[in-house]
Parts: sequence; C-alpha cells; structure tokens
Amino acid sequence: MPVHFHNVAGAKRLNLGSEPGASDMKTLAMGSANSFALSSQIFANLLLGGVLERFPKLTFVGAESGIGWVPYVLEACDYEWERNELYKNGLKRKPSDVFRQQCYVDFWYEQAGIKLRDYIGVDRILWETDFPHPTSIWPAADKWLKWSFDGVPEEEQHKILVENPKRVYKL
Amino acid sequence: MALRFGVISVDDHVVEVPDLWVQGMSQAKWGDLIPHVAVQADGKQRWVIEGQVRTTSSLAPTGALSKDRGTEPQVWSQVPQSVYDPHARLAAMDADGIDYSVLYPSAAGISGEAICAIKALDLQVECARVYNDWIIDVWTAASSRFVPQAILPAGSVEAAAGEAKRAVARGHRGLIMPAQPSQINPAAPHLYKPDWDPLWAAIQELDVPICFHAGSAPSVMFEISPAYDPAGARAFDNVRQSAGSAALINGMVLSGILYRFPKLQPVFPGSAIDYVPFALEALDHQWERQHLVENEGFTQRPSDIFHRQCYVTTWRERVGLRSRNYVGIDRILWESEFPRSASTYPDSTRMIESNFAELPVADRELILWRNAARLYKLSI
Repeated sequence: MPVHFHNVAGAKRLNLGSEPGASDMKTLAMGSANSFALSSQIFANLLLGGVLERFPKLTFVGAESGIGWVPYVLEACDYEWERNELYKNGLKRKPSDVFRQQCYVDFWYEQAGIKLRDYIGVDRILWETDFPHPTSIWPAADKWLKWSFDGVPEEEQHKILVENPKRVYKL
Repeated sequence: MALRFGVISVDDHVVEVPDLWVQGMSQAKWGDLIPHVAVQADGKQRWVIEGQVRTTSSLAPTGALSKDRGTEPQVWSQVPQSVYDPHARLAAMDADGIDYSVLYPSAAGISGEAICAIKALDLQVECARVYNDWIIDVWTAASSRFVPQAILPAGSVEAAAGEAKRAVARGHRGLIMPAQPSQINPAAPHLYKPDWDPLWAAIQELDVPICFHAGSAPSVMFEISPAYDPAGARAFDNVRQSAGSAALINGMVLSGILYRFPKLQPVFPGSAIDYVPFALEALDHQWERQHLVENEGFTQRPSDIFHRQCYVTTWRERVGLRSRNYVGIDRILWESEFPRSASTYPDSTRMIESNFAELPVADRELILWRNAARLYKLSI
C-alpha cells in the first residue's frame, strides 16, 4: 500500500507566515505558494533519512505536492550524498535513484516541471485537480491540462494520466 | 580588472578573527559583553556574544577545507588561514578559479543574525559597525577582488537604515540581513510589515542589493532529526536551507514590498534555482485563482515582479539550468559558498564545466559573471 503525505498537513508550523494583520486572502496565497518549501524538505528527509533504504518496497506519494521542485531535491540530495560520502553510511543507492524507484508526486497546473519530466521520471508523476479547494483547476481542468501538456507526446500523457495511477492503486 | 577565469562567486564567507570586536570596542564601556572567543569547560573555544555562548558545532564553519568535509575547528589554532586572511584567501581563489568573491560573515552569523540578536541596541549597532569597517579596512584594502557587503543591525528599522547609509558611504556594495528579523530579535517588526518601509526606501535610494542568506529564517526549516549521523545531518541541513529561501521569495512578493519598492533588488544567496520555476508558477497560479488584482491591488503578475527585481543563485545544479529561461537568464548568479561544507571548493572549475556543458557561451557568461558584475557595479 502506498503511504501518502498530503501537502502540508502536519507541518503547518513551518511557515514564514504573513505579517500580523494581513488579509485572509493574502495569507491563503502565501500559504499555498509556500507549501512546496515543505514538500521538498519532507522528500529530502525520506531520501537522506534512510527509511526508503530500510524498506525498499515501501512507496510514498506526495499528494498536492506539485512537481517543479523535485529536480531541486534530487540534485541537492545527490550532491550532498556524493560530497559527504553518505554511501559509506548505509545509503547505498543514489537519492535520485531511490526517488525513481519508490516515490510519486503529482501536479495540477504546472508547465516548467513537466518539461523536466524525463529527469523526475515520467513513471513517477500523477495528476490531480484538488477539487474543491481554492487552488483547484475545477471547472477548467481540460484547459489547464492542455497548458501543462503542451508538446508532451500522447504516450507520455497516457502514462501520467492513466498508467501510473493504475499501477499505484492496482486498478 | 580583466577576468582571468570568468567566474564571480556571489556568496562566500569570511571568518572573523578572535580579537576583531575586542580590538575595535571600548573595554571600559562594554566589558565582557563585547563578542569574544572563550575556552569552554570541555576545552573547546566558542564565540561569546553579549555574554551568551553561541551553541555552534564548531568555532568556525569551514567544512569545505577538511578532508571529510565535516571535521571543523574547535579551537582557533585549527582554523585554516585562507578563511580569515585576505592574502591566503586570494591564493585559494586562484587555485579554485574564482575572480571576484562577494563576502558574507560567519561569527556574526551567515546573515548577521548573531549580531541582530543582541538585545542592547547601541551594542548591536556598534558590533555591526566594527564588522563592516573591518571588511573595508582589511579585506577590500587588500584587494578589489573582494566585494564588500555590510551587515545591518536589524533589531531596529531606524538603526538598520542608518548603518546602511554609513556602510555604503564607506564603500560597501551590498547589504545583508536575516530573512526574518523578528524571529531573531523580538524587538524587530515582522519583515512583511510596512514598518520596514523606511529601510526599503533607504536601500532603494542607495542602489545596492539587499541579501537574505538561505538558512536565516528558522521557522521555515524542518528540525534535523536526532536519528541522523553527523554526515547525514550536514547533508540534510544543506538541502533544507535552500528550500527555506523559496518561502521568502514568495513572501517578498505577496507582502507587497516589491510592488511598493520597484527598484529594490533582493538577492537570495544559497537559494538554488531548481525550484524557482515552480515557485513562480505557484505564485502566478494563486494570483490568478484568488483574483489578487482586485482583492489585494497586485496589478502585476508575481513572476513579472520577480523577473524585474530578484536574484537567485546556483552552484550544484545541472538540471536546474535547463529551466533558466523560466527563472530568467539575467536573474541567476553563481556562488561557491566557500568555506562552508556545501561549497563547490576545491572543485569549482570541474563542477562548472560539468553543470554548464550544454549552455551557449552567452548564457554561461551571464550566470557566471555578467549578471554579478552588473548588480555589484564592478568595472570589468
């Protein structure tokens, strides 16, 4: 069974926060845009902390994670893994390889992240609408999909929209 | 000065000499409150600031200079010369292929936070001045390859603005403050409150960048789990710091500061660039979805504000550079982060060759030195 971390429940304390007296609207926008700073630390902890090494068949899914920050986590963790020789301390696999074997992330409105899908791993990406939250692409999901998938071959679209979730949830 | 290597590092750290503040301040007036180095019960030396021992894991963060990138000096006799002596530093820069180095502190904190935390405001201001004068009198005097930046006494808006003006008049080319001063010193207002507007106005007038070093906003970083061994803890720490910058970039835009001060130039050293396209897409998405034009008066798209005013830095990224046009090719600076453990030292040349292999020369030059030369007004 996959384990899900829904953004950013359980880590709400970690926020720069809007200024005292800021409008709810501003606070909401700031919180939503901040949340990936937390996702990236959650996944960095999974990759460097050793849990995926100890449980090589465990799968983690970042729900409402976004995907554009993933290259950051993979490049930064690989760099630190190599520079600090963590392979000598029990982390045998490169963090980016571990991610591509055991983690999933999802998106709903991005384009820049989709352009780096080969690096993230096309097999690792899921799609969501986040209905009925304020950030949701409802009721224009088709428009946003078109935007995100601009230039993406149909075969890869099919993987992201159908084959990947089918595999994760054994549909 | 002609460039030898074509590389400007916009984020390196000096290490303050132990008698810096003791020499520069009145013993009669301040006594033991002056920042100084003292031997602790376990034989290790630590900085003591306003009577408080700093709980750092070493006397000076110089991991890049040790073989395992982790063993750091516990007493001053172990501190490598190249971190505190400008002439030895120039030799290290030559060996690593760096033309210019933009300077940040260490004992004063990566963003000056150890000084900002001083409760007595007059002591805080004087400590900032002594550091800032040392950078000009010792480092810039030794070589124009050092780009001097001043720390601000950010416990007070007025004091910070005063020191910014004084420091720039003395030759400083950039200003440094913690990303969230109110978390460092309860006397400071929240960074996003309009109380700071006099400082932003002063800095905009001075026409120098304001720099918020990664890792200087404690509340946005996960705690380091005690389950990590020292090498793992170091690795996670270096990853989490950059992630925190993402929150600050959002905040600087959505607080309205950059809308009100269109010529303010914030730099986010240690930020990394991989996640910036996502940060900008997230900002634009919320701006559009929440109708922030009507609801908050934010008439311009957040990514346009970023592209007009902000600077981010890269050092360990290759894939991130593929997204350089989303980030903005004129918004990216390169850094080495010498002598901290995350630094590219002593492999800067090899890493640049590897990370920039696919970039056209024009893009490469912008990121490696042209953007920095423009921002810091270097005559090259």
